[in-house]
This record gives sequence, structure tokens and C-alpha cells, in this order.
Amino acid sequence: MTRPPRLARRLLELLLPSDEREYVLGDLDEEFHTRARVSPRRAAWWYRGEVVRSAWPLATYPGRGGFTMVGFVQDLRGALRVFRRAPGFAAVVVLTLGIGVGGAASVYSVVRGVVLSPLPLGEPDRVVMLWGQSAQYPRAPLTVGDHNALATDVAAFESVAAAWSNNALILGEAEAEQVSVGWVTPDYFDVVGVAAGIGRLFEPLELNTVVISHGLWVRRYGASPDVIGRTIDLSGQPFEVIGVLPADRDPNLTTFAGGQATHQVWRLQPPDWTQGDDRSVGWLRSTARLRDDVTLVQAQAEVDALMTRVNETVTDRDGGADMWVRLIPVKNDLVGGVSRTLWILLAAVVGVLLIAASNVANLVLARGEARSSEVAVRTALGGSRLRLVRQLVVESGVLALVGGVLGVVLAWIAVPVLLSMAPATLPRLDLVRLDWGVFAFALLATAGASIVFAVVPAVRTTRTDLSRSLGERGATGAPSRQRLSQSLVVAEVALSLALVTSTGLLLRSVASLNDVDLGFDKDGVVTFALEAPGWGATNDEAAATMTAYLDRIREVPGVEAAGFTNRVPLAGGLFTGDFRSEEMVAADVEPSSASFRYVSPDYLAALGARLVAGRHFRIDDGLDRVILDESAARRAWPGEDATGRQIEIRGIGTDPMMAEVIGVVAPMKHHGVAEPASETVFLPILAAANQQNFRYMAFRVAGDPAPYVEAIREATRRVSADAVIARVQTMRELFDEDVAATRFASMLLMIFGGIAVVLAAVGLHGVMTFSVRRRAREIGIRVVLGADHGGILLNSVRAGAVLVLAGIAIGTLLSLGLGRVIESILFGVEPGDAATLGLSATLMMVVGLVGAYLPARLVLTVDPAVTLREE
Amino acid sequence: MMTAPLSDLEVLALAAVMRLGPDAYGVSIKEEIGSRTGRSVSIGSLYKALKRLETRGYVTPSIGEPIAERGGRARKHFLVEPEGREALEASLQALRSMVDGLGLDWKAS
Repeated sequence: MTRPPRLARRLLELLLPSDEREYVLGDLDEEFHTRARVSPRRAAWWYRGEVVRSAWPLATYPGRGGFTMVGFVQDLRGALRVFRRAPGFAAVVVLTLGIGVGGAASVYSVVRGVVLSPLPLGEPDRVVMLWGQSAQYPRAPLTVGDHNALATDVAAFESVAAAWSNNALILGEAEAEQVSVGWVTPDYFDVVGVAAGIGRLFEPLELNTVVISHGLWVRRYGASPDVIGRTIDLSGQPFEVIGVLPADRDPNLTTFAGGQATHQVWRLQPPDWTQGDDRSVGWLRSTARLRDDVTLVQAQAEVDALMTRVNETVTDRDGGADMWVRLIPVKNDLVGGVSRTLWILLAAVVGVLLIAASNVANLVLARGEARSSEVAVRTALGGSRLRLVRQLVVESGVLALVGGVLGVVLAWIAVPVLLSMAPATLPRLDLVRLDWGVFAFALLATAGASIVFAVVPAVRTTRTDLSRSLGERGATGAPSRQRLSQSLVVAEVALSLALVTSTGLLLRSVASLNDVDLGFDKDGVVTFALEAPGWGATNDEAAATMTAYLDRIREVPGVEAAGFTNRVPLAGGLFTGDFRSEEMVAADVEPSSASFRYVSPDYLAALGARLVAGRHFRIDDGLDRVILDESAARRAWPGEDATGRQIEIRGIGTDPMMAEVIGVVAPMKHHGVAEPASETVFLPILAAANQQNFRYMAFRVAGDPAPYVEAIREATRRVSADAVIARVQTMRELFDEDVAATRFASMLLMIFGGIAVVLAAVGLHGVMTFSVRRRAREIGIRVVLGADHGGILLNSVRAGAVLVLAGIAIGTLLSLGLGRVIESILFGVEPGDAATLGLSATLMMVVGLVGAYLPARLVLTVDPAVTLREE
Repeated sequence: MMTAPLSDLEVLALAAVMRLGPDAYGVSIKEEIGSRTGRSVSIGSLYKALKRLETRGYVTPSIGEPIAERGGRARKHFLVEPEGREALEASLQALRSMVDGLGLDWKAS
């Protein structure tokens, strides 16, 4: 015989007032069976429809105080009474939930600002960065030849533009000011979809005009519209200001190093810069706008096909002959590196929220157990189950709401703290704020947590067996409810272990990063870019200017060494060439690619590079003298001394030259702490002083170098009044920035993991306390019968230990899975590292056993006389 | 004593109970209303209306014997009391005075 649909029937039973239950169910059954004779399926749907349509009238059934305002206020009062009667319970629930929601909302606000909010460009989804990619360099600026190939031969692109940057000084009027200048091709603003705020943008071939950023306009020119048409002095050259960018658009895209460019002044590149097919230097940050009818995949396929054809004809290129071009949507390019870390952090904090919610669920369950006789009495007196469920839900709802509000308050406090700790390399931090989206998330988090902790226990609690609760006092309590509590604790322990293990892996990564041999000393060194007009036309003049700067800086008391270079380690940028030993030339072995670094005599000493053999440069060394790093020396002469031998070196697009190796230094990390050290050829910068686009300096002092910066600035101004030192960073800062994301993630995970462990211990403690209390009578009887306290204690602890072990077993599997997820942000440690996992499990075990032992000791306090008299 | 006027559904339920006499119970009342007015009333709404009629003393419930077809459950039968009949007449009276002279045809079907 067909039966009415079970779920609908169950729901109806819950809704029905007890005195009508039999007749209504009977009527529906009767009609159902009549209908089922025609079509059982339709009868079932009819039944469900009846239940749904009856829900409201039954909930508002006369005389039962259904969902009326009065009833709601009553429940609300009841809920507030909970705060008075059980303030400890209420406080723990609210605090636990507040921490969970606050943490989740804080991290979400960062994710929302940094990862989710759109870039302030026109249709940013259609704009892609074009980065070169070769076996050696995952992210290389394009050469003019490749840029032009892409600009002319790819049908998927609407337009292609390129940018390059340097620094300049705004002179005259107010104090000289250093600004970052973006040199762009005429289509740039069309590609990024930005129009002028006031004035206009560039016409092609307008080389003596500039467009300025909204920020610069407000700061330096007082937001005066008169600035349009005004002539400003940029490093000694006059430029007419033709436009100001709007406040809500920022055409700054990613730089070579991965951060966001900060151009405040924009000007056109001279057209001859980007003509022809030169591939000797990769220096362009190319950007394209995709046609509306083309997908990223299609465009990438077309570019791949083009580059296959191009690579066949190219033998010589900065970064390698086998170069591919990857299309990366501009937002991914800007936040791709950190978004994974941020999502991992968000997942971790949601894990903490889940643990918090389970804990609260356990508290509510335990309290429900304590109230089971109240519930039983009320049910026996005719209180409908719906009414009881509703009261419990309102109670939990009020607790959840207060917890959620506390969470938002905590987030309001935590977000500024979070931002102050966040690494400077985290882009778009200015977009992080507590807005309605974050509040909506907090609300959602609260609601989700409430479902875990309110509804489940409510349904459980009211399914109390009357006879058991009122009659014989349950010796072990409802098994299903206890099983639920225990499952929650197991889940908490498992989640906590996974969090602790991930934290451990990240801490090991941070330790590995700190211990990496950089090939130079990161302490006591300051680096900066020296921007100054007029270095001199000939090499002798430029070398003399450099020497003058070096002399002035060396005169500063405390400075131990100072030097020039074309690229500072860890600061981004690539400059490559080829090399091979004299013997390889004879044997016709292919040259191999290396980083080329121009350095002045004291530079390597200032950096603290370790000289392994030979000597450093001297002032009179020419381009026929080079220093190699150990890995390059090993490639040229494996297992032999390189000093005094002849090497062939070739800059991109230049003829090969022979040079003598005068020294060998330890391998240096140019491109990143976690990256392998690239083979390097050092050349004397004083012999090529007038060929440099970038001039960086490094100086070394004993102790903290920061206080010396002002004196250094003074010293450079004695050579040229307009000299500016820019991008001042200690080597320690460059290092810190490089490892900041890992450190930030590990620190936050440490906080989250700590909270998780404490919450899990509290949860275990609660469950154990409760189970001992409930067994007081049984324990009393056992003690009377001569059982010894110690044995009972052991039993209790064992019961807790079983839960912890189960949690650890599941948590171990979870940790191994999570390790794979976070693998990309680990360094120097395997995702399944046994030591970390073992240590975390041990920690969890100890914390769990303490959480089990403390409440178990309650059994010792059981006085049989008192306990049994209660009956 | 003034009592609250009957709702639309209460009027229909009261009339159906009067028509059905001793056969009036949940399913038959629903069917009676359905076949005469074309309205499909949910069981919940019907019981809510009957409960209010019962509280005001317009109908009296009586419990029948358990029936196998209903899963061994009894029917709840309803009988109209004289007060119920008066209340129904009062409702019709009110309706009649409202529509009187509007040219509406009572006999129109």
C-alpha cells in the first residue's frame, strides 16, 4: 500500500497542535488513499501541497500562541532571561561566536578589497598583460621586436600598447619632487579604457606634453584647473600639461617585479623607441585589449602560433631565444600572487568559525540535556513541540545575533591591525574596508554558524523521551545526542589539527627562508636609486661623476663601503647576456645565458658578497676583466680554478668579447629569496658608465643603516643640487618584502591555529565535564560498591582520549590534503612533512588529554552520599 | 453579546456542515466546498476555521470510531448549533443589505 510522503508527514506532525493531530492526519490519509488509487505519484504531490498550504494556518492556529508578535516577544524575553540565569554560558557562546565571525569577516574584507573588487579601468576583463616566459624567466618584459610582432599580427587584439618607467624630478615652483614617470605608446589609454578627467590625452607624436595623475594634481597644483596649458620643468626639460586623469580611474598596471606601478606623470615614448625588430633588451611592459568576440583562450592560441613562427627566425634575444608570451588578465596579474594566500587564509578562518559553531552547538546540546526535564514537563503539559523548538531557536538566534554583532565589532578593530601588519607588497590594500558586503558576509557567517549550533540541537533536544526524562533518571543520557556531541568534538580536533599542521608547515617555510644563503649579507646595507641630471656624455665624464658621488658618500662618517650597480638584488629587473669559456669557444660549445651585473669596485664588498677566489674590481679595470659567481665559474670550468682564465662574454645584440676572470664570488640570489641563484657575470661599471639606464647604489655601515640615509642624501647633493635618492630600502627591507607574504600568512595562521586549538580543548572539556556530571549517580554507586576512584578516572580519561585520537586520525588525512593546497606557498618543506605532522599531532594530543583529564577529575569529587541522596 | 463577524471561509464551512448533517467531517466538508464553489481549501485553513466556529459555540465536534483506511484514526464530526445557524443568517443579512439595490441577481448561477 502506498504511504504519504514521509518528510511532508513529519513536518506536518511537527506543525499540528496535539489535540487536532489525529483528525487532520486521518483526513489527509483518507483523501490520500482515495487519490492514490488513481495515481500514487500525483497523490504524493497533492499531499505535499496540502502540507505546504497548511503550514501558515497551522502555525497561527487559534489558542496556541503561534508566530504572533506577542509570542515572539515572550520568546525574546525568555532568551534574555538566559543571559541572566546562565551568564557564563551566554558569555562563552557570544565570545566564541564573536571570535569566529570577527576573524572570518576581517579576512573576507581583505579578500574582497584585494582580490574581488574590479580594477578601476574601462572593461578591465578585456585587458591583458603580455609577459615573456622562458625556461629561465617566468616573467620577462618584452623586446621591441616581440612587442611589434604582437601588435601587428594578432587579430584577437583590438589594440596593443606598452609602458616603461623611470623617475624624474619636477623642478621649479615648489621644492624639487621625485615622481615616477610612465612612458607610454599613444594607444595606452585606449587599451586600459581611461579618458581624461580634465583637459585631454595624447595625440600621436606629442613629445613635449604630459598628463598628470589626479593625486599629483591635487597635491602639487591644488586641484587648480589652470594647470592645463601650464609648462612644468621635468628634470630640466619643459613640458606642457595637457590633461589630468580622473580620480576614479588608475591606469597603473603591474611592474616587472610584480607590484603596481605608481606613475604620477605620463608622457609618450619617442616613436623610434618602439620601431623595428630589435630583441637585444626586454624592457616593455606590453598590454593589449582583446576584441569583444574573442576569448582569452582563443587569443592565447593565436599568440602561441605567432610566437612559434617568430621563435623559428630568432636566434638572439634578451632572456633567451625560446621565449613565449603569456596573456594574463590585468587583475590576475596584479593580485594573482597573493590571491591564493588570501583564499587559503579565508578557508582557515572559516575553519575556525566552524570549530566555534560546533563548540556552541555542544554547549547548547549540553544545556538542552540539563533542560530536558523542563522540556519533558512542558511537553507532557501539552506544550507543542513546535513551540519548544521555536523558543530554543529564538534563544539561539538572540545569542547568535549578539555574537555576530560582537564579531563585526571585533572585525572593526581587527581590520586596521591586519592592514598595519600586511606586507607592503600586498597590492590594493587601500580598497580594503568594512562595507555592506563585509557585513553581509558576517551576517551569512553568523546565519551559517547558527544553523549548525541552533537548529540541530533544538530538534534533538525536543525529541526527548518523556518517560525516560521524567521517570528513571537516565544513567547515560540519550545516546544519539551524546553521539552528536562526540562527533562535533572529533570534527573540531580534526579541523584544529589540520590548521596547526598548516601553520607548522608555514613556520618551517619562514624559517627556511630566513636561513637561505643569499650570497650576500642582508644586514647593515642600504640600497637606493640615484636620479640626477647630467652624468656626462663620454664614458670618462660619466665615470668621473660616479666617482665623485662615491667619494662624497665614503666621506660620511660610519660608511664602510659604497658602490654602484645597474640592478639591485631582490628589487626586480632582468639583464642578461651569454658567456662561455675560452675552451668552449674552441670546442664550439653553445654559450649559456647569465645575469649580467655592472658593478663598481666596492659594490660587492658593500653588499657583503663572499669572495671565493681572486680579487674585486679596481678603478682601472676595463671591460676585459670580469668576476663570475661560483655557479657560472663551475659551468665554464667544472671543478677547476676560474681565476686568470679567459672567458667570452656577449651582451644581447653586441659582439662577443674576451675577458679575464679576476675573481669568483658565492652565488647571489638576484630574483628572489625562494628562487634559485642565477649564474652571473659581473662587469666593471666604471668602464661602461655612460651606457647605464639605471644607477643604483649600495652602502654598508656597522649596525643599523637607517639613520645614515639623511647624511647620504646630503652627500649626493654636494655633487649635484638636483640629485635625488629614490627607492631607498635596506637590504633587510628588500628581503622582508620578498618573504612578507609567507610570513604574513604564517602569522595569521598561527593566530587562527591557536584559537582553533583552544576552542577544541574548550569543546572537549565541555563534553567531558558534562558526561562526568551525568554519570555522577553511576559513579556514586560504583564507589559505594567499592570501585576505586583511580580506575574510574582512568576510564573517563580514556573516553576522552578515544575522541582525541579519532580526531587526530581524521585530522591527519585532512592535513595531508591541505598540505597539497598550500604547497605553492611553502618553501624548503614538503607538504606532507612527517616531523611537522607528528609534532602537531603530539601537541593536539597533549592539549586534548589535558582537556579530557581536568573534567575527568570531577569523578574524584563525587560523594556517593550526596549524589545518591539527590535521587 | 456581540461576536466577531464570520470570515468568508467560516461562512462556507458553516454552510457545508449544515448541508452535510451527520456526515460532516474534514474530508466531506472540503469536498462539499470544492464541488459547490470550486475553491480548493487546504486542510490547515479548514481546521483553523472550524476551530474558531467551535470556540464560539457555533458547531459541536464529536469523535467517531477509528477507521482502518485512516490508519486507525477516528473522524472528527461536526454538528451545527442553533447559534451557528443564527450567525450564518446574520452574515447573509449583512451581505444582503450591502448588495441590496445594486441590481445583482441572487439567482444567477
